[in-house]
Amino acid sequence: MIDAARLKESWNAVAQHGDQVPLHFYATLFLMYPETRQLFPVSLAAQRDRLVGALGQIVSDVDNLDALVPFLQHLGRDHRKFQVVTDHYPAVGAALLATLAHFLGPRWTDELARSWAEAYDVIASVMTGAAEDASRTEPPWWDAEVVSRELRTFDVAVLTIRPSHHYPYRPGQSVAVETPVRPRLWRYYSPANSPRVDNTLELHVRQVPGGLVSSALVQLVQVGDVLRLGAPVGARLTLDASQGRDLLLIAGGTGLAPLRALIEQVAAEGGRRRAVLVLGARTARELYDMRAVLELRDRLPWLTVLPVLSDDPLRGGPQAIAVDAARRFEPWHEYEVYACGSAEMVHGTVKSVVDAGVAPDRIHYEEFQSHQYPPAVIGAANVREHA
Amino acid sequence: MTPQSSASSGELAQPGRRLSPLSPDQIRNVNLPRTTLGRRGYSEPEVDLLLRRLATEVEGWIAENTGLRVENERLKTAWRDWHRRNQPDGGQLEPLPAQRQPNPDAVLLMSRAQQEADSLVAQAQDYARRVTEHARSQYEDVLRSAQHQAREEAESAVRDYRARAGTAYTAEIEELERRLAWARTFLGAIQGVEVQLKAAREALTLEVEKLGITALDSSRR
Ligand code: HEM
Repeated sequence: MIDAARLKESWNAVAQHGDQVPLHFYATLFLMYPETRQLFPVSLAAQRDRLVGALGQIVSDVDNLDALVPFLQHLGRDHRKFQVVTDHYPAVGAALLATLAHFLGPRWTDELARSWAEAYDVIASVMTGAAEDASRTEPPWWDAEVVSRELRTFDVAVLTIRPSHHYPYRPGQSVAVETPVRPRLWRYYSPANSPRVDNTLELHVRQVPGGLVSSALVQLVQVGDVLRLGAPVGARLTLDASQGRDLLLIAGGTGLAPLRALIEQVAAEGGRRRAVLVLGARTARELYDMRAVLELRDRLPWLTVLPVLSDDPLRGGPQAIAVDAARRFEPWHEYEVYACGSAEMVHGTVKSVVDAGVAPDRIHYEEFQSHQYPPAVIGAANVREHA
Repeated sequence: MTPQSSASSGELAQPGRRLSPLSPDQIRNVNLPRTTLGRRGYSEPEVDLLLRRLATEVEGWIAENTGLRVENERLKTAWRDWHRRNQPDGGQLEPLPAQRQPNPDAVLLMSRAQQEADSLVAQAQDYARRVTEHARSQYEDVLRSAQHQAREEAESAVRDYRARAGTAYTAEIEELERRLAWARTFLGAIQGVEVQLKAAREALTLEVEKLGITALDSSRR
């Protein structure tokens, strides 16, 4: 019988040591199993907060297994893109136990060790089971060749990539991307198009100052380079074809991408609803995708487009943030509302929309969580690159 | 770099709750809400500088702490060994746990190397961030002043036209004069700085490439 209360208690005691814990964990793992080092990026500063924290919390939460299973299955499938295989799990388990033993000292008893080992095995078997099931139906990652790269503004590039095999995703989902220039670093982007016959995806990338992956995608990646894609994730910005309400889409910057994909989806489904796209940017120059947007507007009679500039000193006329400009389409409760952009923009937009009385289940946006755990964030593409 | 690893200022200052220590990475990525213009507050560059220094210091403390912890471990082991050797029955008293544990010195060395690597990457990233931000603000300044200049030239071209047109004045020609002057000045100003912008972009690309130290081992490709 696993005593989950004692697991939690001992994990809390260990977690008090902060950054020391993951440092010790990785040093132990890499010394005991040197072959695991190459699975991780060079800098583990960010990862240190992620894997080890999640490990301790998840394993000690084993009494909550039913609620955890979907999350763990997703995590297990997703670990295949890190090239993690079933054989690696005992290594991580051993390093975890050695780390706990180190920090708990005399409090680390044989009985506690057994409880941790059992709990880890339960978690690991859910993850590896899901990974093995998934390996029968989908590859661990997709190779995708860069077909074109267009620098649209000082720091926004539009990449067109072509996966070597069919890549099944829904508009509004996100794709984890790894570049050959920054191996083992994955960041999420949302395709700006609905699935095409030629299988290509369009990614809109803003270079985050100091961002390792975004800077590589905007500045260094060349046509012909091969990126890797993880399986598509996320259901917060997808659109259910069976409900037919009109759409109010509020975008900031490259947050346009998933919302443009939704417009293309509605078009592919026959355009049986109206859509309003409110497109916010600081200055006119930052409206980096107007050609495609206007082309859609001209082609689709049910689409209204309203570009909004918040801070363009060279333009006369009203300056506003997108959500305030969207007030002209009130009452909002007739719409399904989608918001995508910076954390700040999404936060402000959602607040205004909620204050206006729109039911929460009609408001679609991605949470920007500060932790990967708890499992409420399954699939939320919350690892976009922020400086 | 990711939202996961950044702490909000609220998280930094929750009274009454015992928090686990902040990591240097969390300090580097702390999000302090900006005050609106004209409100009292600390200057942003100063706060950034302070946070960077804090992160470096905390890195130092952690490295020191790692050293002490491992030293402690070694003393305990040595003490246990000594104790055992000095037992009349040859040390049956305190069996070591059967756990496979790597040598503490090796763990220390490994941890230090990792901290060194993390710190180098963080510094490179920080540097690249500042270069990018600088290049970006230069770019915006250039465009803004080009547009400003163009607008002034356009107005003065209109004044000239009015003065010399007399009865031949038409609104269309005035507009044409305005646009011509605007475009000529704007293009001229931009061309002048094109070279400068190109240099800025090249410097930027170089910095970005330097970040490639994270790609030290790309052998699997
Ligand atoms: C119970 C077992 C495990 C749990 C709960 C766990 C949990 C996690 C979590 C929450 C993340 C962050 C997810 C993300 O960034 O998308 C992660 C990333 C990762 N994990 Fe695991 N993991 C486990 C086992 C393993 C094993 C056995 C390996 C292989 C040695 C491994 C290697 C990695 C790698 C390479 C990353 C990504 C590193 C990065 O992006 O910086 N994990 N893990």
